[in-house]
Amino acid sequence: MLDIALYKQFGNKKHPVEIRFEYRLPEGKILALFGASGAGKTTVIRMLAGLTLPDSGYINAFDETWYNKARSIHLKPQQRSIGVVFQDYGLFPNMTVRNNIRFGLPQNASDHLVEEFLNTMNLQAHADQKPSTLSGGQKQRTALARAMICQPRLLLLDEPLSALDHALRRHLQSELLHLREAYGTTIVLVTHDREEVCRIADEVAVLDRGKLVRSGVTAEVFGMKVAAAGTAALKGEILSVDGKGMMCILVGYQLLELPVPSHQPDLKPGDIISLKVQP
Amino acid sequence: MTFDWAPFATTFQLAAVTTGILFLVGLPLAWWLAHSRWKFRFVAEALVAMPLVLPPSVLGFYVLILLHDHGWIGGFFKSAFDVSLAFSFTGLVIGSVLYSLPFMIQPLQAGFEQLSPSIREAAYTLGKSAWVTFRKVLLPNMRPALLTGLVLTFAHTVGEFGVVLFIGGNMESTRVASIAIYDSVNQMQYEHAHWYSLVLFAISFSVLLVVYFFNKKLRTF
Repeated sequence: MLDIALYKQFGNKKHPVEIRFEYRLPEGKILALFGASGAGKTTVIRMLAGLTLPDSGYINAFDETWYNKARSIHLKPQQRSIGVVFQDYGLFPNMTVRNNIRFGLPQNASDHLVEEFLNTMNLQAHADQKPSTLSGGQKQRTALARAMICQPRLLLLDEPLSALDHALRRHLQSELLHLREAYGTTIVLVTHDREEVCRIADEVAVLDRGKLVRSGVTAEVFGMKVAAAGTAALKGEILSVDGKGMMCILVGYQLLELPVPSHQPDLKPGDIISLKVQP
Repeated sequence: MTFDWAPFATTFQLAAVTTGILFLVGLPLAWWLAHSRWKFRFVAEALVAMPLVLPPSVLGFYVLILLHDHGWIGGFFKSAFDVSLAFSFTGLVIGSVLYSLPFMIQPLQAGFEQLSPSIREAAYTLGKSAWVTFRKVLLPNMRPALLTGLVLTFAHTVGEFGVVLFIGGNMESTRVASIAIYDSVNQMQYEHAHWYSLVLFAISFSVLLVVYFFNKKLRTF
């Protein structure tokens, strides 16, 4: 169980932002921190990682206390069982992909584990390349492998997929779910992509200007009607249809680009359509 | 009269010691300047940069005032250890360290500032200590800045004149190459002055070639 209550003030005197974030997340679940820019999502992630000191509160993670203001406990990032994927990936430019992934392991660790992660993340062919020669997806997979190889109990992801194209994002979302299944890692993910939340998060916490405004199971928070086991229905408005058979749909306040279904070729802007979401 | 190579030995010894000291002092100072949120940090930055704009004679004069046998620092060393700092090699090193300070600090500070904070934080979250992170992540990723700082400090110390003249004078143990040129010209030994000058010219040019060549290579990751 990840049991947290975090309070922090930041910003400047003119525009102070106060973060008040309280949450209890069962072990092995994926929590999405959802909200607009400046909502405080990244600060919450940083406080969980021990990179930013909260003003008060506590973090009880997996039967350990990582932070407790009242008891003057503040474990350093090195002392927490965490893996972090930063928004800019934070890969070490001087090291190859293999050495980046290996970096978190003890010096006497076997190379076998590194090779296993290179294989899992489909990075074998790029193992001896430096990060500057990698594509966005390859960098993201390297960062994910590096964060996961020590098998942390908590994986923190700060908008790691935001810079990627749609197809690659979906592929990596699937890999993330696969990793969670394989290692049982608890994951906290920062995103402002509603589709991403619906696709991979078990629970969602919606932040607005530092406050937790809604939280709970993803389908309930986003008002998704569960149509059948494992699927959910969404309604969206078609904003445009281009000549290449692609339509742009507004779902909530998220834009989706999907192909026009072959059995409904007459769809036009303004039409409301139903979408089924399958995790 | 035979050509005296000793000033080159003194010059390179001085440059090597100064560069070594400034490297050790410069790394933590540059780190602090790059990351400090102290509101008067700009005062420290201005002090570090002072030797860039201050006439060497001004710096040399004040350092001499401090280091001579009745000065604040020199007086202490004289009474405590019976050591004279002024007109000694140690005095030259102190003056050179102060005079070359910005040539080491500024490249290192820029190097630290250019590093993404996330690489340092990523290393911490992977369980690495601050020292391991510094040694294995930060330093290797600012190699161009390290090279620039080391080489410019060395080259600048080799070419010093005003400060060393004030602090070291023109004694055998403190005569560096630039002073030897001045001395040779004063004695109308132009051939000697040519040799001293040519060697200094060649060294300075080689040093800059090294910096530009390797900086390009070191940036290729």
